[in-house]
Amino acid sequence: MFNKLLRILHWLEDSLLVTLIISMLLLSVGQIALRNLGFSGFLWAETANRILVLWLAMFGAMRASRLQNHIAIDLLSHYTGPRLHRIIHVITTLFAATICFIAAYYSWQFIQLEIEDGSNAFLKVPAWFCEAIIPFSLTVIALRFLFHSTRPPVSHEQHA
Amino acid sequence: MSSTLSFIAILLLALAGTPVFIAILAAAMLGFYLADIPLEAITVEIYRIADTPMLIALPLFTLTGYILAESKTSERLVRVSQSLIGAAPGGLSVIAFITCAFFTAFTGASGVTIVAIGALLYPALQQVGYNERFSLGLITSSGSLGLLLAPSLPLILYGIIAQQMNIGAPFTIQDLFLAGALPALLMVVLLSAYSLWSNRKQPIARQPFSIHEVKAALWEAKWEIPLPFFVLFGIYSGWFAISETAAVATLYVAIVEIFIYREIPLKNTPQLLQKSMTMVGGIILILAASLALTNVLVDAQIPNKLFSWMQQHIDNKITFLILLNLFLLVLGAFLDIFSAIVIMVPLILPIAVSYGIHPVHLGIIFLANMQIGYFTPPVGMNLFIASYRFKKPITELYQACIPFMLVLLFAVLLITYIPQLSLALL
Repeated sequence: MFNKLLRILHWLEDSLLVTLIISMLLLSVGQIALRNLGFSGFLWAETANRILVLWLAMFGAMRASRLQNHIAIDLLSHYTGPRLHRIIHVITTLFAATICFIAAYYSWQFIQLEIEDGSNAFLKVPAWFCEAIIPFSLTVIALRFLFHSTRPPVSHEQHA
Repeated sequence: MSSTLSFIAILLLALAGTPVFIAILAAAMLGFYLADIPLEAITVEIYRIADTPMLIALPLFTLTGYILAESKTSERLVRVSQSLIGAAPGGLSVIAFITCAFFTAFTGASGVTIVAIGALLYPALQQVGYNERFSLGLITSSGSLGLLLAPSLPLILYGIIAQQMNIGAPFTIQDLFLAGALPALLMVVLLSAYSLWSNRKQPIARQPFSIHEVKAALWEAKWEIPLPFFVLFGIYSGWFAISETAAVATLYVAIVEIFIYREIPLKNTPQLLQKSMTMVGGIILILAASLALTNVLVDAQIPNKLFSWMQQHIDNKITFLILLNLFLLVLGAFLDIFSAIVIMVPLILPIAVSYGIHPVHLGIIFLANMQIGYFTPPVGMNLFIASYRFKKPITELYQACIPFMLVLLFAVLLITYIPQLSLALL
């Protein structure tokens, strides 16, 4: 049951990631097309597109944490034995989880201030909503690091 | 004192395999804490990603590269260049350098060049008579050739960071792309000359020139040949912004590879998109964290202190450049190129500018060194990828790459001490 729920969530996450990049592509190309047809294009599209980059990046980063695919200095794993490697892995992932939890906590605080402030990023889209991806994804990433600390490390060769 | 220890602890954790963005974020947060800045500021710093218009080009060009790498573009690229220059002496090795450079410019030096082009050329090189070690070294060291050519992602990233700092002579990303052209050409020429010289006693078979083969190869690649021309035109004509060039190029490549060549099944595209955006997410998150760290460093006047310390010990530009080269070579072997750029450029750029080095020239020096770092023993990333792909022990790769490394080191010295190589076209 829990596994099934998790699979659905992952599918949703992956689909959103795909939607984001396709929207970004179409928005960019659409703007060029409009401009060349003599229309001025949409003023909000430029802002929306830049916010899409942020969302895209945070969704990509969440996926990277899910797959243990973050860029890291993979210096020790070539030289340490499996036991020591595992211990180091537990330490580094727990550290990563802690840092993300702290960052996420303060980000939520910031978002609350933004909700009170009530300004808009573009059109009628509130700024806090665009920014909320930051604490949200940091929380998810923190949870994933926490989970990975209980699992064996993935080596870079496996990714290549 | 305890704050110094904390920073050292973070550094050690980074060396032990903590994801780079976590280490940078931790250092930035510690810096904020020490400077009594509320930690909520982290959100503002990360949100600056949405205030950098140039950044739209990054996911789009990455996607273009992933699509090209997934389809049979590499085969067509090799066939076209083989038909055109395969008949010349040393033809196949020159082909390897040129195709690798082109491919890397579009796909970024993520190791995919070795897998896509190297895997094609490695058997071909041996077939025409190059020995195994030479072929292995050539392929591995060419895996990062082309970093200096438009529209390579590390160049764009350097441009974004250097422009944000707003130090030294103002420049555009277009300037950076122009600046990389001659240095990249120099590398290809020197490597080709070395290949000819080192195989002068080796009987190397040449492919006879055939106008039919040229036509057939060009015809087969007819949909892809316009791509580099469009990208160059888009970047330099001013007709499109760079992000717009990236958007059109991505859409074009997607249509060509998915619907015309039909080499990427439509059902595989979501996976391809996810894979490429996972990489983008990783890079942009590192960038975001380092924007925060840069502010911490600047507020603490670290670049200034570093500079006045250096001025006491290093009194001229040449000594500075020598040390810079040594430092970057080591850095490039240990740190991936994106992290190296976002962490080091904010520290090095102010110092370099005060020694009278042009920001564009610094960018080219930086990336040229990083390019060698990719296959510097013992931990250059491409060594592991080649070892994995060609099933060769890593020590054999160390030996195979050394001559190519020396040639490229010579090129880097020329690039470093002759600024005109980078700046003449601006």
